[in-house]
Amino acid sequence: MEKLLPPLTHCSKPFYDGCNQNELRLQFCSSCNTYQFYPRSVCHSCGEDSISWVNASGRATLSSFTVVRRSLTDAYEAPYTVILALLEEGPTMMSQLIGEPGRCAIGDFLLVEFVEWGGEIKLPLFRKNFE
Amino acid sequence: MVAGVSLRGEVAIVGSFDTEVGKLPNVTPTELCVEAALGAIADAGISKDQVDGLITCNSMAQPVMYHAEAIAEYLQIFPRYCFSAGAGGGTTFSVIHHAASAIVTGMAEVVVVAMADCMRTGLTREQSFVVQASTGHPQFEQPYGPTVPAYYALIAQAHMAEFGTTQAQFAEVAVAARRHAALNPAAQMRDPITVDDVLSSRLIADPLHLLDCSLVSDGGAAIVLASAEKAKDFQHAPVYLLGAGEGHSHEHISQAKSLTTSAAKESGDLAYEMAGLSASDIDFAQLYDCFTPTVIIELEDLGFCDKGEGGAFVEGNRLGPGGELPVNTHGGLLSHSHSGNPGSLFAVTETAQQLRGDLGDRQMSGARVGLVHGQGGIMSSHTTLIFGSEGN
Ligand SMILES: [Zn+2]
Repeated sequence: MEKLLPPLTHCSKPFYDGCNQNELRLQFCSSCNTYQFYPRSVCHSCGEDSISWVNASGRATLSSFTVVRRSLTDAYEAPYTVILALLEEGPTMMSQLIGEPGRCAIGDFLLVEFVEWGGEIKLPLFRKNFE
Repeated sequence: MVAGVSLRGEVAIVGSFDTEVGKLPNVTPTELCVEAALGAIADAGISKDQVDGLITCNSMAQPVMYHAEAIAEYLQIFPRYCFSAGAGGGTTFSVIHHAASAIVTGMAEVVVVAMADCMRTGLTREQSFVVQASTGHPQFEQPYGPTVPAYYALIAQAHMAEFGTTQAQFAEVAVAARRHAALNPAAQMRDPITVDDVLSSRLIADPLHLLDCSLVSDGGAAIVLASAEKAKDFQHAPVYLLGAGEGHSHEHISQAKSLTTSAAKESGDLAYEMAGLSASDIDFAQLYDCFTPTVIIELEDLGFCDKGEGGAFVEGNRLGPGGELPVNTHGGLLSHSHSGNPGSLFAVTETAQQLRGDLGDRQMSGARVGLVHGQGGIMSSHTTLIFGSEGN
């Protein structure tokens, strides 16, 4: 059994293209100066379509985490740490923490890293940032 | 917000029925749903031909394309108001809100809400796990391997970090549910448990242990609703809907504005306002308990205690039988049964029975007002209903 892969859409393709080039990309609305994630066809704040893709810093803080002991499927090797990462630019994304499961605390600083997930796809994971 | 016609006291539960719960290997979700519907119709003392509204929810184990229509056909009833809804665990209560509005506006006179599923025997454990986890965003959540316990564990962890809530306090919720279930012969899990039992059960997704998680069950339930005016002619004492409110804040947990305050705040405020009541008027509550921490957050958001004090509030058997605020008096999803989306309908049938006053061993003395709260998704869609034994 394989890990779940994100079904790609036209709208989200630039995000995954970015991951494959080790760039974390967010959408930015020039009408209301808002970043958004996940990718949408319109700005979730003002509804305009004046959206462009920009590179995020890759820095985040840990909003929450859980060590999954009973895995989703056999493709996921428990234990692994599922997290919510609050990006420096404002949006929150779900991800996994790289490193020993559970060695983290809410508020920890994180830095993005791109990891092969299967198929041709890399996903953004995070590692604790001690800088 | 413009207030519309108040539903307060206009609609009542006039029939209620639970199927058996647990492992029911020889029955399909459709058959269980039909059994529940007919049981509630019989309890109401009417014939199925008097039903002109039907609301169901789809089965996860055996999905049906046009579910409510298929159930109506199976039963050979021909309603003028008929749909199936899907908002996860919040569906059950949300549709009662809709059904009440339909009765008040004349879309139907007698509405059956019937729901059943076979999460235990209709799916393998793995299928059940994966189907339910598909509530996550297919592109931006599911690939990371979150399970349903994991989604809720993210909420629990945040509550612990923000307010100092402890795993032992989460465990108190499970212990109280089991104490209620011990009094209910129909409940799936009835052996007493302690806080230590919960804490020493295996971790599923930190900080949630096995006994912090609800059951996986087959089962179904149904109720019959009618206008308050008509309700007086049925064989049982009517149980009146006094307040109803909803709040919908997100679908995916990574998009939630807050992990520790939910739209139960909005749904509760609307329900209290309609009922003209507050948390201090509530004699008992049935709060959606897919995992123990949800109950603590709901207690806070529904005004039973201040934000952040839910952990301390549940200590000392306050939620158990004879406690200051009995919660989930049938045993809840944690100890009675959890058959997926239909699971919380048992909280409504239990509320109806408590307010009728005919529950034997677990009948609360003097119970006059009960609150039920359901949520679906990952603390996403919330409905609060308030029922009373006296109408307007
Ligand atoms: Zn905008």
